[in-house]
Amino acid sequence: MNASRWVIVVAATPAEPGSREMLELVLAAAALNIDLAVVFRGPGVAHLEVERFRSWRQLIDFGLAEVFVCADNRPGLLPGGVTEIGPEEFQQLCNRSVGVLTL
Amino acid sequence: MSKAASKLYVDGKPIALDEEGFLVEPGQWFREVGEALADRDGIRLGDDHWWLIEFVRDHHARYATPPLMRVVVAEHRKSHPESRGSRDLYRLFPDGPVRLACKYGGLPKPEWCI
Repeated sequence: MNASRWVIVVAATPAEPGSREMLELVLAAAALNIDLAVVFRGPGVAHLEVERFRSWRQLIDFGLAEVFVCADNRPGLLPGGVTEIGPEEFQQLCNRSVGVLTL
Repeated sequence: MSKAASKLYVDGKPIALDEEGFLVEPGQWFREVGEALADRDGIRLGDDHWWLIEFVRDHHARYATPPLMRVVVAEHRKSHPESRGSRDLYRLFPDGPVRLACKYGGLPKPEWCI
């Protein structure tokens, strides 16, 4: 884990179908070459649904961020490249980061 | 969806454009439309321009967003070992490589280019 890393917690459901407001914030940070970990939690897990995750997948495919899920309500099958972590690992990730931004 | 501000005729087909010259109906795009749009802006598309347009179109088809400039630069370096990164891309399209690749590639006007 990198001490210069920011953690972005996606904890809200998508605003509406096709809405990419949260992804755009993450991409704006990625565009600045900021070391990022994106964690889907709680209602934010809805973004992992196959079609909704389509746009998020670029984070993984181009190495723009590490992507995690920390939730009891996660889908049965996670998208490839998404790592499941428990509450303790999530806390460690946050503790070792420069800052945590919750969307 | 944008309202047509003008029409461009390519191979006898009317192509509806918005006020900034982007296609109103992305489904109307074909390669010659891209060439005609660039020609209107005084740009003759070569292989390097088409590499960028096709990369941006492919990215949009996969992810439903335009690529980050950072991603384009990295992929350009992979496929063009001699690439000088964003300098080369801005030489192709000085007014914004991703934005103009979207325009000439028949994609919607990007809401952001970063």
